[in-house]
Amino acid sequence: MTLDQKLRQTADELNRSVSGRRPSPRLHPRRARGPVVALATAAAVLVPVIVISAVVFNGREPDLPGPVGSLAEQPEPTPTTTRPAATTTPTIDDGLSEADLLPPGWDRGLGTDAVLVLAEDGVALALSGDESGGFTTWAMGAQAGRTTVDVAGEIPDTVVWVETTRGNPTATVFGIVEQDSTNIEIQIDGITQLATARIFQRPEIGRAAFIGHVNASNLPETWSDWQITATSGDGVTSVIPLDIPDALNATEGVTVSMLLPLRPLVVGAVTVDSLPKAVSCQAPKDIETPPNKGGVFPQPTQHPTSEDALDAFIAATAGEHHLATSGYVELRTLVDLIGYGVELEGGSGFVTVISMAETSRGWIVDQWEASGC
Amino acid sequence: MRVAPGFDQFYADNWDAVAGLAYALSGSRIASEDLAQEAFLAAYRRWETIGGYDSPGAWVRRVVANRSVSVFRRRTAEARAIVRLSGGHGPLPELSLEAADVLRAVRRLPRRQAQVVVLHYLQDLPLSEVAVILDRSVETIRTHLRRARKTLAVYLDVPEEET
Repeated sequence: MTLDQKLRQTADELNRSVSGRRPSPRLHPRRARGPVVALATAAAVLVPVIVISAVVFNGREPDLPGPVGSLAEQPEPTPTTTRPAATTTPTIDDGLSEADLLPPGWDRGLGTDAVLVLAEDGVALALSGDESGGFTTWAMGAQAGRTTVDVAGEIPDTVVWVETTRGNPTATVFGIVEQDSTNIEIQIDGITQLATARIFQRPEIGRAAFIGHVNASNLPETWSDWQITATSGDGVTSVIPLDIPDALNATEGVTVSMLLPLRPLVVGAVTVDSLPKAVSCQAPKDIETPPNKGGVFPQPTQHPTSEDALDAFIAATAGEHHLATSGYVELRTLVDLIGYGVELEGGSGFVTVISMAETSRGWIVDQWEASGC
Repeated sequence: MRVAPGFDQFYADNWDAVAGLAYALSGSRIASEDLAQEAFLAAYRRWETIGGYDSPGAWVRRVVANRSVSVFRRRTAEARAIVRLSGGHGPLPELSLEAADVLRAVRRLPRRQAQVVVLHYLQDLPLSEVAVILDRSVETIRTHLRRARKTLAVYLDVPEEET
């Protein structure tokens, strides 16, 4: 069977599976009428989320809104500061199964040592470890046709997997958007060698995997004790030693992927009177500092939501201005959302401010400003 | 809110395809309905505007395509759905092992490639329409598709070209 035949067969089956399964009228969007019903709907949504959260948090329920039964009677809430307690120690539940851990498409045999960390601002994957502030060991579960890998060393909130591409040693199986090249060093018998390896996707926190593909032709027949050095989009360098107990055939390629923490693009909201200016770089008088950067976004595109527009803007400027790829807070007046910002550490200003506007055809980014540091 | 004419028909005409898109990209049978519902609800709330677009369906598909690959939304939607489904509304039926394998392979692709494959091959949309939905040029979409096909052929261990 060819690829096209498989795709057609899947399409037919998929269409049959959803055909005629529109939700019952109680779920029909037409049922939502007015703010009271909208709030009642919100309450109906929050109940199960809170219930599930309570279960997942092992009974240590986070500070979520109070009794939801009263929400339907409350007036439309005034926007207030809703900064999540993201910096508090996350609650960890190690009783979750592998299936609970896997985000869509990442069915790659994560090991049982992995834990799911839930915080109020979203879901993050992390590794279990013996020491706070760092993860010391982690073993990836083996699956048929895949390689068992022990990962050791300090791995900051990162998941790594390695799998072979048997029978297709030189195929660039992840050959999309080769945005940058990052050295991948391989240590063989204690000697560091630079392999032919490329990065096909720069790390995007909260997004897809960071993927490098090692060409087997530059590798010895047996690999052991090799390591990856990679620099993330935020300039953080991670060194990840890998020990591969199974000798791999030289005709096999190896794909190494690093899953970055799933920090949300938007982590909260703050109320402001007007759009703030980005802070400037601070330095002693005799040291010249770079000016702030920014301006009008020349080619804004309309998006269904403000978050989608922010997402597209960051993607469009990736590698050019080195803007943060996650951790934005909504900047809201009492009435409207007017932008997004990345707060200076300590919360005394914003290092990045992005101005948003809602047009008749959707949300756009119109201007931005970031510290030159 | 006054509903602009045509929303009912729009909903009826597009539900199956949008739910299928959510299913294919999220990999979650029980969350896909909620993902689709969220998108339709968003469209409903702004139907007076969106109903006037050249292709309201493209707008809804873009919302679903973006949200279906978001872990947090999937988890939240799934949590909601699990509780809701206990009330008796069943999830989408399971696919065959072969079809599930194909979808799993598609979801292993980089996000944009997965979206392109699902919209073009599984939703049977022309590349021009996929380009509108994903807000990219047709040429970019074609490039994603070409690379996705190569990768899928490897994942599924099948020849890429038609025999």
